[in-house]
Amino acid sequence: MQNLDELLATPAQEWNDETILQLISSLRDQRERWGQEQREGGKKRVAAAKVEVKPAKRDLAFEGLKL
Amino acid sequence: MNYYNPTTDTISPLPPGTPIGIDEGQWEENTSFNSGVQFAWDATSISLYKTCPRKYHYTLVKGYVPRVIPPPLAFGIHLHTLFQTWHELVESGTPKDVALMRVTRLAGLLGETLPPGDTARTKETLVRTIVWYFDHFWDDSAITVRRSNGKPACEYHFQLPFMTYKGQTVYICGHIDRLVRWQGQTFVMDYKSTKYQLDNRFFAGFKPSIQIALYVVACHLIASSTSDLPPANGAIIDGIQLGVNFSRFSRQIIPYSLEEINEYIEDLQASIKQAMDASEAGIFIPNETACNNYSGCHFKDICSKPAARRETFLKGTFKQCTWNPLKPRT
Repeated sequence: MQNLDELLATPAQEWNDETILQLISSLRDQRERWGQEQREGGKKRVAAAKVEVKPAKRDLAFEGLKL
Repeated sequence: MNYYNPTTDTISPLPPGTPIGIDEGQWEENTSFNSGVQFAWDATSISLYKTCPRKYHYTLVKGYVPRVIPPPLAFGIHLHTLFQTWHELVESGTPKDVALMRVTRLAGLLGETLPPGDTARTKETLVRTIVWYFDHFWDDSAITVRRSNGKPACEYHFQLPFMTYKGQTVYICGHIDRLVRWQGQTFVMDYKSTKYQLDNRFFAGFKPSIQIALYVVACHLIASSTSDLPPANGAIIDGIQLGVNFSRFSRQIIPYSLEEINEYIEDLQASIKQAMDASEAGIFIPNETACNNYSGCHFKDICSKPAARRETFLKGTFKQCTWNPLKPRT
């Protein structure tokens, strides 16, 4: 499965809505995991290569994005 | 250079739209000068002169800039473009969800034009920062002020008569990112990115500050002359810490009292007069105490050369483009 690092490395000219939804969703996953680490006082980095890209959904359950 | 139109979500080789890259412009006549003396001043010009008159002479008067834009400057320009695009879209009625997708696409496009060599200022950092920032401030309690004509006070270019110098009107110019109402008061808002921690030391860097004080003064002058903007009580700095794998945000108010504003106006008038006197006399004394500030002045090597050979080295090392405070950003 593709990770966030690989998705970010694709040329932005080729990004379609699907790609951008995946990007936003994955970046939010990354932020949540990073926030969790901060709250727990952990020093683990959450690199983009460690964030799995999931198939884009139109009914994304995170705050704000309602397409 | 291509252009991205966030309203239509299309890329084209011609304007309108946001340039995908940094258009530094060409070396052309600088209309902010009259007979070799600058009469329209912005925060960049004033800071340069106060830092080192010779650096001001090389940069503003002669137009010499590094051939490659330093990564922090390029990243900052792109970040401002993205915030501007967001506010334009949202203020024109585009739903936030759609605006986020458009600025994410633009962040990817702009990120690919960043100069290499800085692991905290990459395409990944830019895209991540923009998505995380708008998540963080999704329901922002800082509300954009409306101008007297009903338009949002975003990307506000000002050019105000400030003083006279030997019969010539002298202007202060600048570009306010956004004016906001927050907790019943009005503030100039600015975005500042850094690789360092967003601690008291970081925020202390914005007072005293030529740029922030100039913007607050401008709001007061506009309020008293045209009422297009309300007077500002100070500034809000949105600090953005850039890590290789994270972006962190912190917001702080930098208050400015009327007394401080009045003192700043007097100091600024004296500084501008000093700079205009020096320009008229053609004397730009270097300030050696500033040579090693930050990572070192980029003209340090030039100043180390014999005076007669400096121009040749300047031509060989730098490119020339015009910094004109009278020109609004496009």
